[in-house]
Amino acid sequence: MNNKNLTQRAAFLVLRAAAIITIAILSIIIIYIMSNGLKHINLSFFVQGPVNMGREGGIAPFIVSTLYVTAVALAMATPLGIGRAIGETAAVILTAGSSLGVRLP
Amino acid sequence: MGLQEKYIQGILFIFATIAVLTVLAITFFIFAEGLPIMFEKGIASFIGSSRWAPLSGSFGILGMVIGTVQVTIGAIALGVPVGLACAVYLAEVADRRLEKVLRPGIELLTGIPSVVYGFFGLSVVVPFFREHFPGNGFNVLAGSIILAIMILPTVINISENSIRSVPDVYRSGSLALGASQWQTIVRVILPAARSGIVTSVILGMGRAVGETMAVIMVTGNVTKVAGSIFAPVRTLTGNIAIEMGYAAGEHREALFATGVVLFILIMFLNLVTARFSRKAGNIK
Repeated sequence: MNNKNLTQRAAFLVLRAAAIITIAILSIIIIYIMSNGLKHINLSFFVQGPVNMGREGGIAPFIVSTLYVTAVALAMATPLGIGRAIGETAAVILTAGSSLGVRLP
Repeated sequence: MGLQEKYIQGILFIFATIAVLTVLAITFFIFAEGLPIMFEKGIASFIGSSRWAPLSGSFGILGMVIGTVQVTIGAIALGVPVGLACAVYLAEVADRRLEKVLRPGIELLTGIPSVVYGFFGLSVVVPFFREHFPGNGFNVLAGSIILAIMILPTVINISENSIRSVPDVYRSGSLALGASQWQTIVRVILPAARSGIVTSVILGMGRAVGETMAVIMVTGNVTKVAGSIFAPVRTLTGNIAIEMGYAAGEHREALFATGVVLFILIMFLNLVTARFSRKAGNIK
């Protein structure tokens, strides 16, 4: 009985350790990136292009290009995705309706 | 059915088929580009040789195949124990305070782009290995560590779901027989959730095999077979990403052939996953 409880305690400690390790890894990554990156972020970083092969200046062109790529990808994928969803919903409604004896207008 | 409705039906049908057609077209293209050179050089020498010298016409991807397997196994070995323990903790044991931090934390881990993981590996993990272990720091283990972190959310989320879907009567039955909570978890709940857990591991493997950017940044990308976990290694995905920019002719075809091997590997993992998740649905 005592032995059983002891094992359980040890096991739960290990589980808790795994959870803490996960959080620790995430925190280390975030803190590392923030502590090295935050001090370089200011307004000119967002509005300037790279200067001197990227040693100075900012990332404005890359922000714009990311937006472009995302916008075009959305423009192509959204109609396809919604079209499919409508098609599938219509199919579900039609089959459900017919089995209930409902007639759609 | 009115004429208008027929038109709409037709349009919706086109939408539905375009998605499928795109996938088929990509698949067909990869195979059409990659298979000829595989047959020309011989499949055995393509997969069985580790001599990759595109300029002199030798295309052996054994080093990359083994590299992918090594890095993936390492990631599974490091990531799955932690992930599974987290999943059990979240589903069965968690105290509120830690759970409140852990859940959003896992979501954050999913949201970090792979290049940021690679960047972190390049500037933290690789220098650590360079200082304390033989070699220059770019090695199999560094890749495994970064991949292990990247597959954590997959393993945790899917395992936790399958553990939660074990019916409560199993728990109360086991506890009523005098088993402790831990004995119930090990002897009853984990076996019952087994197929879901295996699915999470295989999905994690799929992610590890397919990951490109983070791995390129930390593994060193040498085309030889790695003799130890401190040796540099190149994966299949890395091979394509690194060389596609300047490859032409046979070399380019060989990269597509690398893609074919990768494709078959991923398809195999997907098939296994599908099998296991079908079984997972059968728990009553």
